Amino acid sequence: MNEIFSKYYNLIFLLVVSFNNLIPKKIRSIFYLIISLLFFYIMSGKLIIYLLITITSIYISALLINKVEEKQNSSKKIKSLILIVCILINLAFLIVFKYLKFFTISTNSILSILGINFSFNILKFVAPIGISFYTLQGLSYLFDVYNKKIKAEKNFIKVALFISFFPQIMEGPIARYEETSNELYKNKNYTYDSFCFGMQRVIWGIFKKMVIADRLNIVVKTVFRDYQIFSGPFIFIGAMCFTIMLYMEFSGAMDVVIGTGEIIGVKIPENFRQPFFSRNISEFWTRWHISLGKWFKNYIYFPVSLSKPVKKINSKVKKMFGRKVSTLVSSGIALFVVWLLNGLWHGAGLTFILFGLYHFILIFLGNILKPYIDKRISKFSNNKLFKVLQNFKVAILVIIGELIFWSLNVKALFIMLSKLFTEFTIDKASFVKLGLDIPDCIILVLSLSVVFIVSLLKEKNINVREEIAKKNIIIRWSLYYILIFSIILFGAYGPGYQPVEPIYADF
Amino acid sequence: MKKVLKIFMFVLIFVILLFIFSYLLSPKYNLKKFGFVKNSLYSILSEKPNTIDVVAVGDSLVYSSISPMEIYGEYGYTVFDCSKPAQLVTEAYNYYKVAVESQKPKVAFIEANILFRNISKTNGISKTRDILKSSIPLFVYHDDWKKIIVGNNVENNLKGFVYSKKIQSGTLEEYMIKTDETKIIPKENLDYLNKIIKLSKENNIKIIFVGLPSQKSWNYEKHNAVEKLSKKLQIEYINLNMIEEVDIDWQKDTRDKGDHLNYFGAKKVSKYLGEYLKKLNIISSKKNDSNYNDWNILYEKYKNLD
Repeated sequence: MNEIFSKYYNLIFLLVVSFNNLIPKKIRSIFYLIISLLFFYIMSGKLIIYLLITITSIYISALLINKVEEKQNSSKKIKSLILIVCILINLAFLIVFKYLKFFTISTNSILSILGINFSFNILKFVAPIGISFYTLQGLSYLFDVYNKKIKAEKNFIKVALFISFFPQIMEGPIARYEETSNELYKNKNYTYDSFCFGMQRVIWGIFKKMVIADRLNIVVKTVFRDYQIFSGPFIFIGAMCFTIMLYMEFSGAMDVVIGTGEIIGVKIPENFRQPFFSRNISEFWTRWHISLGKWFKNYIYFPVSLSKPVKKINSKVKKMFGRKVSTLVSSGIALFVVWLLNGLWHGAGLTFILFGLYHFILIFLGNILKPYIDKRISKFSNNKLFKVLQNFKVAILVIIGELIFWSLNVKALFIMLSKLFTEFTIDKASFVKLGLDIPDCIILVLSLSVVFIVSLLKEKNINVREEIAKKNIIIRWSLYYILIFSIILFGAYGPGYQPVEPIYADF
Repeated sequence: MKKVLKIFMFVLIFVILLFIFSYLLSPKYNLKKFGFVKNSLYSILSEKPNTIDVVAVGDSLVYSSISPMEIYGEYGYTVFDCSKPAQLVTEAYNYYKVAVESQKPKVAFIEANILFRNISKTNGISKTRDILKSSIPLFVYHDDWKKIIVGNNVENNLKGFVYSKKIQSGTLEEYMIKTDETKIIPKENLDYLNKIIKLSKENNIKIIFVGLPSQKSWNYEKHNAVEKLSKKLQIEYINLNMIEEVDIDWQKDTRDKGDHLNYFGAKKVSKYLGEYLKKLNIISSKKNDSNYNDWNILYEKYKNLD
C-alpha cells in the first residue's frame, strides 16, 4: 500500500507540477478534478463509483435544500428529510465498508452468549481509499448549507473538486468548504518562489516519514506483535515509539499535502500545531488532527449539546443541582458521543472504542476538576519547569492512549497494560530484540532533535522557512542539501527496513 | 535567466554530491573494473575478489531458499545468491558472467525454474528497478554509512539472501503429482543455457541444476523436462521438491502460501545443499582462514538475528 501510495502520488505530483502552468486558467479546475479522480482510480479502481455517488448525492442534496429554503412557505421537515436521506446514503457506504465485519462479529458473539444457535455470515469488503475523510468532508459541506452558513454551490465541478482534491483525499485534512473552495478556484500559476517554498515543506514531510517513522516501525512492529516477551519498560518504549511514529507519519503526510498545495497556490489548512507542547489533554486535541477535532466539535458536539433531549436533562439537573453541574452534565453527554464516534471513526474494533472512552474520561475529569486545579496551580502557571512537567504529563497520557489504540486486541491490551505496572525488569537482550542497532538510535536521536528544535521555534511563532529564506545562499543551500541527503542516506528504506503504511489512510 | 541558472546550479551541485556520496559508500573492490552501474546492479561485486566458492543463480526461489550464512556456519563454504525477482535466463547469464569475472567459484547452482520463464516477456517492474539502481547507486548502498560507525551491517549483507520469518501456510496438500508430461523449455532459453555452460567450462566450474522447493513454481512436468535435459547435457540435477530428507513443512516453512520459503525453510534447504557440497569434496572450509574474518563476524551477527 505504502509503495503504491508514494509511487502514484509521485506520478500525480509530477503531472500536476509539469502541466499546471500550461493549462489555461479557465479549465484548470477541471484539470485538477481529472487528476484527482485519476489518482483515486489508480488507488481504488472500480470503487471510484462510491466516491462519485457521494459527490453527486451531496451536490444534489445541497441544491435541493437551498431550493426548499428559497420557497416562501419552506418546510423545515422537507429540508431535514433531504439531509437525512443524504446522510444515510453516505453513512451506509461507510458502515458497509468499515463496520459491517465488526458489527456482524459482535452480534454473533452476543447471540452465542445468549445461547442462540445462529450466526450471520461475516462479509468484509475492500474500502475505497480515504472513505472516512472524503465522507466527512462532503458532509461538512452539506451541514453548512443546511445550517445556512454557506449557499449551495451550483457548479458541480467545484463541489466534486472540493470532495476529491488529490492531496487531501488519502489522509485529510478534512477541510470546510469555505476554507478551501475559493483556494481551489484561484487557479494561480506557480512561481519559482512558490515552487521552492512548497517543495521545502514536501521534503521536510518526507524526512519525517522516511528517516524517523519508517525507522521506528521496526520497534513498533516487534513490541506490539511480540508483547508477551517484553517487560513493562519495553512495552512503554514500544508505545512511545508508536506515538512518535504516528505523529511523524501523519504530520509528515500533512507536510506533503500542504506543501503540494503551496506549490500550486492552494492554501490547505494545518492539521497539527505542535501537539506535544500542550498543557492538558483538551489542549492536545486542539493541536493534533485539528481538522477532525473541529469537525466533531461543529457537527456532533454542538448539535448534541443543543438537542432537545440534552436540553431537557440540562434543565432538570439545573433545578436539582444548580447551573455548574448541569453544564457539566450536558457537555459530558455531548463529549461522550463525540469520543465514542471519534473512536469508531478510527476503526471498527473494541480497542478503538476504548481509545475514545479513555480520552472522554480524561477530558471529562479535566473539566470537572478544572476549577480546583486552576486554583492550586495558578501560582506556578508561568513557571517554565512546571510547563515542561505538564507537557510530560500530557505526553505520558497520550502514549497510554496510543497503546490502547494500537493493541492487537483487548486481551493484548490488558496484558500490555498490566505489564506496564507490574513488570519492571530491564535487560540488554530485550534491547537487542527491539530491532534497532546503535547507528539507527543515533539517527533517531539526531533527527528527532531537529524536529524538536523546529517545533520549538514554531511554538515561539518563528517561521523557520522564512528565517531560512533570509539567510545567504550558501547557508540556505547547505541546509537544503543536508535535508535531502539525510533522506537519501539515512532514510529507512531497502533491505532490513519495512516502511510504515500511511496509517490514517486506512481509517 | 538568473533563476534558470540558479536551478541549473542547484541540480548540478546535487548531482556532484550524489556522485561523491555514491563513491564514498559503494564497495571499492570491483569499482574500477566494473564501474558504478554494474556495482549497483550486481551485489556480488561488493564481495572481495576471489572469495566466493559457490554461486547460486536464479530467481526469487534462490534468495528465499538458500541462506549462505547458514552454509558458512555449518561447513565454512562461501556461497553467494546471484538472484533477482523473476530473473530471466538472459539476466541470469549476465549476472553469472559478472560473477565469474570477479570471483573464482568452483560450483554453480542453477535454479532450473528460470528455464521456463519466457525471455520475450520483459519484466517491467524489474527493469524500472534496475534503471533506478544503476542511475543512482546510492539507493543501493545508502545504508552502508553504518559500516563507518559499527562495521558490517548484517541485514544488508546476507550474501544475497532475503531474511524473512513471516509464516503464511501453503495451500496445497500435494503439488508434485507424477505424470509423464513434459513442460517445454523455450529454445531461446536453451541457447542462453548453453552460453552459461560454455562459460562454466571455460572457468572450470561444476554446474548443478537445482529445483528449489515451491508449491507454486514447481510441478512434475517441469521436473521431467529438467531431468531429461540434465541427462542429455550430463549435468547433475537435484530437485529438492522431491527429496523427503529436506523435510519442508508447508505449514510453517513458507512466507507466502507455498510460493517461497521463509527463514525456517531456507535453513533446511541450506543444510541439505551444504551437505551436498561437502560430499562433492572440491571446496575447503574457510572458517579458520583469517582472510575470511568478516564472514565469521557476519555469521555471529546472523545467529543473533532471531
